[in-house]
Amino acid sequence: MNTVFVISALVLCIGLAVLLLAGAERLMASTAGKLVVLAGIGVLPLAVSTGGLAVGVVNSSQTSFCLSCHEMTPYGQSLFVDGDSLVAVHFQDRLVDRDFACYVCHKDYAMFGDVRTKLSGLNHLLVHYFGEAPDPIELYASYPNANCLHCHDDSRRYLEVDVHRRFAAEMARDERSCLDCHRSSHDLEAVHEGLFWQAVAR
Amino acid sequence: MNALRAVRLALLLCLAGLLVQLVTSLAWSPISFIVFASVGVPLVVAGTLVFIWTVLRELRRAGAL
Repeated sequence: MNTVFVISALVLCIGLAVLLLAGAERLMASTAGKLVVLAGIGVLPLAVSTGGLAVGVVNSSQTSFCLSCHEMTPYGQSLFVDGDSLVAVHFQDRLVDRDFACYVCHKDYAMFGDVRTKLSGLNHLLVHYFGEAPDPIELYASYPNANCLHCHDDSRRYLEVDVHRRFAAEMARDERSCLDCHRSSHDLEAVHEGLFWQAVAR
Repeated sequence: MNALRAVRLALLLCLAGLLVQLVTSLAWSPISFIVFASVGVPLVVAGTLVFIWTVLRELRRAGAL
């Protein structure tokens, strides 16, 4: 389901609602008419609204959506820096879906994590429109290892590193952060210096 | 409020909600998504609830409940 589908469904629903509004009196006089009203008020609008919300949730998880706020510009640029920062490597080597690069690493992977992530996004909006984002932007809490381990904990490359196996229990309990060793996440210094990787044109 | 008037109110609420959803979904942005979810969807839900309330009231009045 995509945005075009939602818009088409909304236009159809609006057309139906207008027709129902004009002919409500006649429709309410018969059982069949009442069923049409039930579909026009009770079923279709709710279904379309649910579909629209689902599309909105997907759209609001996209990299372009996150980067549409100016505060995020340097963090978006850090996806393209030349170097071995975590963000650049994950994005440039396609270790994450580029269209959802921010969301994959910053979402909450716990139960109802998507809802919690969206609610936290609401807070970002409040700050964007009614406050002032701190410079540099900081996470609300320390970065959870679960977000790294969600993908890495059973990967061969990860398990073959002795330190990962040795500290597995501590890392699972967040007593030792992945970022203790992998320090460079968003390389903002490289962004300010304009050190960007360019794909070789084929 | 008679049944017909209540159904019209329900339709108007749904229509308003759908229009808000249409306008906001034409250009997805952080603020349009918030308006979609916090204004458009509740209006549609309110319309549906008014309709259900009307149907239940009419059924009770007719002795079917």
